Amino acid sequence: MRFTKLRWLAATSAAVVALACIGAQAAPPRYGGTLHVKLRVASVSLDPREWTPGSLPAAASEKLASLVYDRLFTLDDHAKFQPALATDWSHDTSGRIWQFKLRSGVRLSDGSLLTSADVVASLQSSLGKTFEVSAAENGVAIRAAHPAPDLLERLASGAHFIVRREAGGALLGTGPFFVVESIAAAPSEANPTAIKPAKIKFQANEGSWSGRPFVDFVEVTLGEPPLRQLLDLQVGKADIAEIAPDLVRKGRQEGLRIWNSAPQTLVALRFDDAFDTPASDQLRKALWLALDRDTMANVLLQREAQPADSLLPQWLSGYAFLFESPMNLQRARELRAAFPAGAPGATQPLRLRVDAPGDLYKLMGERVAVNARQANLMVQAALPPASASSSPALAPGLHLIAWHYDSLSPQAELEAFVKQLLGGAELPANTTDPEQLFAQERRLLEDRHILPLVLLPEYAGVRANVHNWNASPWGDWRLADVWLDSEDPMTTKTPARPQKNSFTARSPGARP
Amino acid sequence: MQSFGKNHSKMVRAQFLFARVLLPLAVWAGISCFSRPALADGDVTLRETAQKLAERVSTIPGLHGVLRLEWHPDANWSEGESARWQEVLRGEFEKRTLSLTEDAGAPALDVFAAETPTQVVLTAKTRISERDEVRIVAVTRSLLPSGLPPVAPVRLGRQMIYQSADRILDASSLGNSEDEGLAILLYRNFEIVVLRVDLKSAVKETVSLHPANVKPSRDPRAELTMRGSSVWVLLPDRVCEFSWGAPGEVKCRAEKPPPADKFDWRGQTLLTSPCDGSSWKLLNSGSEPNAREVLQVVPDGVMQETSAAVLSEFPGPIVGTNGERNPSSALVIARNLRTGNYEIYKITLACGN
Amino acid sequence: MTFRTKVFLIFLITVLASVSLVAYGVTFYTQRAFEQMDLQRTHALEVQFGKEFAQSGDTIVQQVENITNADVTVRMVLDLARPNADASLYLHDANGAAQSHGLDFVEFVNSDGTLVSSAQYPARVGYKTDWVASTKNWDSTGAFLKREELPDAAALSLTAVRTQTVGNKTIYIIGGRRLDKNFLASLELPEGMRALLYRNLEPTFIASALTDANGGVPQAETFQSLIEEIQKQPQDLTKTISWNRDPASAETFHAMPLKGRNGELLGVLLLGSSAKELVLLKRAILKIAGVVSLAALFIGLLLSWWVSRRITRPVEELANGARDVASGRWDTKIDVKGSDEIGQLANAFNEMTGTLAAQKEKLVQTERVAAWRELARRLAHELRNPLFPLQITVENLQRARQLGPQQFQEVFTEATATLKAEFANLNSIVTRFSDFSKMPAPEFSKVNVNQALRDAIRLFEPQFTAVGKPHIGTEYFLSDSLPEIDADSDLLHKAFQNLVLNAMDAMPAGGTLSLRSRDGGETVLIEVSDTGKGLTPEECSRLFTPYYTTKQLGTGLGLAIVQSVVSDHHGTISVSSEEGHGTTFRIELPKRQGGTALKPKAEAKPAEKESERAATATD
Repeated sequence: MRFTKLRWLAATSAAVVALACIGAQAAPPRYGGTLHVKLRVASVSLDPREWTPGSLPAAASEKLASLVYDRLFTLDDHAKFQPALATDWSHDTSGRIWQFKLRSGVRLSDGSLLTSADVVASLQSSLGKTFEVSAAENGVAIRAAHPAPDLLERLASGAHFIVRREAGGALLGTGPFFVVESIAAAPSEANPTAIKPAKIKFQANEGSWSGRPFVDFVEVTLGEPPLRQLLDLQVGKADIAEIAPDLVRKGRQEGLRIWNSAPQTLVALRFDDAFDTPASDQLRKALWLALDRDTMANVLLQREAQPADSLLPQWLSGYAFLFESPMNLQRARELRAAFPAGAPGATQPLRLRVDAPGDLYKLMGERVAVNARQANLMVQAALPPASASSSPALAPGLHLIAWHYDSLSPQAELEAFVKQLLGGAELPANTTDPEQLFAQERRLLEDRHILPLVLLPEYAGVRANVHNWNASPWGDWRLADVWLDSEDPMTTKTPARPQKNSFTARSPGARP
Repeated sequence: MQSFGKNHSKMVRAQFLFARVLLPLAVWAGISCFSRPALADGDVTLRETAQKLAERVSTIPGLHGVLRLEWHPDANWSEGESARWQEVLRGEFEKRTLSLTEDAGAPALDVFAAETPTQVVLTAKTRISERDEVRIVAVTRSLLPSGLPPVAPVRLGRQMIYQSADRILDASSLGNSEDEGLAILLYRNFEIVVLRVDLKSAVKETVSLHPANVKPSRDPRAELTMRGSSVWVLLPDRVCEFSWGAPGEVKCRAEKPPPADKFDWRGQTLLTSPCDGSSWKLLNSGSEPNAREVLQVVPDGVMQETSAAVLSEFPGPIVGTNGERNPSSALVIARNLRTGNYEIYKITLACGN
Repeated sequence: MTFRTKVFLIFLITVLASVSLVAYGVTFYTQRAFEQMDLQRTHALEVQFGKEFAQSGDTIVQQVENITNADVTVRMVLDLARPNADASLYLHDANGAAQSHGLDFVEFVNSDGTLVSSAQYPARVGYKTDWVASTKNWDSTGAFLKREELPDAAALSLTAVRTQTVGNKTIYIIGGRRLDKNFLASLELPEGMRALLYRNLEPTFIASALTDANGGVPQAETFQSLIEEIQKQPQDLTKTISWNRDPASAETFHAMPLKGRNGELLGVLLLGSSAKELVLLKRAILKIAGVVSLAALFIGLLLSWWVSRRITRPVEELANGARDVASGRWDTKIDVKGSDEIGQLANAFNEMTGTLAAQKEKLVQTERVAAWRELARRLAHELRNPLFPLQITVENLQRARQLGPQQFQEVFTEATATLKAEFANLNSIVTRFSDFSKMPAPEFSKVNVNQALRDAIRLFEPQFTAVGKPHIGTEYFLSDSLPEIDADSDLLHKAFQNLVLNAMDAMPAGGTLSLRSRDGGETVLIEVSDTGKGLTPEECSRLFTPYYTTKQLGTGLGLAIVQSVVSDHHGTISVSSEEGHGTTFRIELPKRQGGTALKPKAEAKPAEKESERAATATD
């Protein structure tokens, strides 16, 4: 009887849904159309060598790079490495020597065949000196200075695309798209004070070894203001657009389909080396105790962020929950009261430079200043000059930085973090062991030169006409698998054959 | 050439979010009696991981006396998976003379499991004399056993008869009965391949369409049809044909696909009830690739009468069904969201509750 | 200054004074009128500011009420009234409300004082805003001044608060507008006036907190003292500030304190009135007054000159006539007609000169007779002395004829000796008179007066300290820087000798002879003083009369010679004496004898010259 009742409930539910869906049919995938994508960054580079690890522009560049390049393999959503340009791989017992068998018959966008030399050149550049990449029979061999059990995670993410560099500077890839047009940002003719954003147009590679993508074109617009992007989604001028965390609620209220990744960006405070004195120890600790991360994540960021206590997020390391940053305003005030006279933060305000671009980060900087004031610490938030890079810059003082995770290897991510932001510290090699990684991370956080604040996921608005949206939790959008509902009247052109030098790596705007 | 299926009414698309919340859809059926080597390897890996953690925990200085094991599985794990891990961990801890108790007053040994993109990270944490001791191990997820399939409702028999890490596009019984094995059309390494497997899931023959210049496609639609010893593979833009035993002689020709609104892949999959010979049809919701799908079996011709509907939730989206060879059973191809594998289920109707 | 000049100046000054008085009066009263008008304008502006302020406040209240009563606000309150409501949903609502209602500041505060949303400071969301929850009757409160905390700095705002209540849940809606240059720009100010606003948000004076309608105020530090004064005691104050040396640059500022809800000083409004107009007006008036004054001066000059000439000409003629009379033309007549006092004076003058001329002749005759009588008397006296011994000697000779030859020889020898001495004496007397009558004209050369004085003294020094004679001490007060003068050294020497002799004669019992010399500018001054019995005033008056002497012996020519020498040198001599204390002769000689050729200086033969001088020195 109980089961019958359950079945009835299930059946009723099913009927309701079935009635609602009468007449609907499972739409088959459709080829054609132009996918309009909007990204927030003002400029990207399609040359992985120009990317600054951890920077927000590099993250956007990687999204677009995956349209024109491939890696040796990819990681699916079920923890399996799927072959791409490599069809097979193996390694010795020490994990130092790896062999990769390359897929044969793969052509670059100019029609030439991909060779081992191309792979060797690309990977040697991206892996660096601790790895020795060489051509092998039907593939490449990689010899690591230290055991590298996480090599697959490294190669399946980040800047490890296979790119051929031509003598004239052109870059060629094997990806499902190639660049046909790029327009730099310029003043608008109608309103000279406004800026027309930069655009890049990608065309489907008919001969892609992984199969022709569904859409004919992907048109990417860069650098539009976040609110404008949201509006474009609503009115149909964009199919997919990045959404700033502070606009997600608004987007959901407007009925948009919002996708979010796992936390991809760490917002943190970084003290410069000048604050490496015993007096500064107290300042760093006092500030650490004064920060109210929970309110920042749940109120200021409207629950679209998570409080961060560690450098690596839980989804990447698996042990981030072990870190704690308890707020203790009373103790912070006590530490502050013991400051020597004239110390920064006491009589003179400590300058907090917000290195990440956008109003959201500025708001967080101001919030840090407000938190600090509760502990009688004088902190003043300021934006850097317009010409400064948006990557975590090394200038004296306290900085609010945004670090974007771009590796699937916790070790690689930690290495990049330390190299970019903590130039002095070193990580011993061979620390894929999570316990050692945890110990290292704890050591890095102990002296409070880095104070994690919150973790932000990536958000994207996806219009209803976009099907098969299957982005990975770590932000790989997989636009080649997406297809559109209806004919896009703009795409009436016949797809052309890709030219050898049909695009160069340099896209509109400066390097990330 | 065989037609592309009856022009039945369109596949119904339904969303069962509310149903998933309400219904206890985890009903266990008989576990597959296939003993695949992969399952055994996965168990070993699980055990080895638990051992490693237990060894590390046992080396914590000052750790003695009874402990209360507090298990914190990953939020995405099913109850079965979680229970399996807990059981193995408990066993390994006890092997290393760590006394475990349920007593709430005993000091806690917290063990956390967390999935990362490629690993499962196990963290053990306990407090010894005002300090926290932490031990961490990790294991590659792909080496762990797949999730256990749920058991179909009593009236709907369901049995997994094949699984593959490669994308299965279609499957068909080789003969009128499944005793003759299966032909499986799958996408392996960007090539379309047809396998002939026996009852034990052993691959007897592999035919690749790649030599016939069949290019990889992102369109997952494909159909396998047996005509005697000939095998027909229907793709969106071409038709290929070959015979078992002559795999090198694959012939393909381009076929202009029919208009999307008129085209209908294999129509409704029908089953015949062994009880009364009535016809039942399979309905799947056709949801997004990242959602579990519920298969409905309803009497044919009935849309509103739902009292007889039986449901079966699959561990992922259903990518295809095929029931033409045998009216009493059907093949359902689904993707397991937990493991990423593609699984072929045999669906049968059984009488009674 | 001549009489004419005096009269002229008097007239001129009178004219000028009148004109100046009039110009000053006009300037003064005009300035006062202008200042009164300026005060009235300032007052009117204050009233206008008050009205604008009140009107702005009312507008803000209305806008806040609109926000309060809007559907979205009511829905927000409803939602927040539920248990476990998620206030973070409304994080950006305040910003939207601010933009749509044209306010600079909007905040939503929960009933417990927690900030739900803030347009101006979203980073403070979640913190308490105690001041708003502690007041109960916001809905009847008008707009007020408030210090607004912002991420970068504080600002001054005109703020209103309203509440929206649903059930027992209240939300406070705070809205305001920034008080800055835009607010000042909205005030309508007359020409020459401006408004400044000082935002008193820091304990010390901050120059950048002072703004006008265009933004920052140049030289804002100038206002520091005024602002600090108001900070100490918040009340209206007025101060004039000069921006540079030009008085037209001055501005008078009327400062009004702006207070917050609790009476705290949050701002100062400064209404500035430029002094330029007034200064220009003053300058114009002064210019006109100047022109008028110059014209009046010119007319006054002419008039004064004409009037003074008319008045003073008769007086001048009178003065000229008097001068003529003084120069010896006693029969001078002046031609002044008129029946006024000047005419009467002229007639009296003419009468006087007629009488003087008649009297003069008689006086000269009388003086001549008196001088002849005196000369005869002195000559008789001088000659009688040697004549008597002559007579006796001749009588002795007559008697000695009765004696023997030897006795007669003795008497004859003695008698001839006596006769020869007395004839020499007589000759000497005649010579002295002859010398006096024909004293030579001076021959000028460069003469050192101090040296001449010393030389004169040297002759007599042995006598000053001779045994048996009364001791006479000498004192020298001679100026070392005394220049050489144009003089006849011999005559000068003679004159000095006579003065020394005279002094010696005045001190028969001894005393002190003092010699003084000093530079008198264009003259040199010489004094010879003795400490004798002194002279009576009558004696002083007759001292320089030839042959006048106070001594029993002597011709009385010594001082006359001195006077003659001094006169030849165009100098002056005077005497001052006090009975019983001594006498001082004072000689003033010009340094230069203009137009007279100088004799080359001859080398003196001191011994020869001294003996000559001694021989010619008179008693």
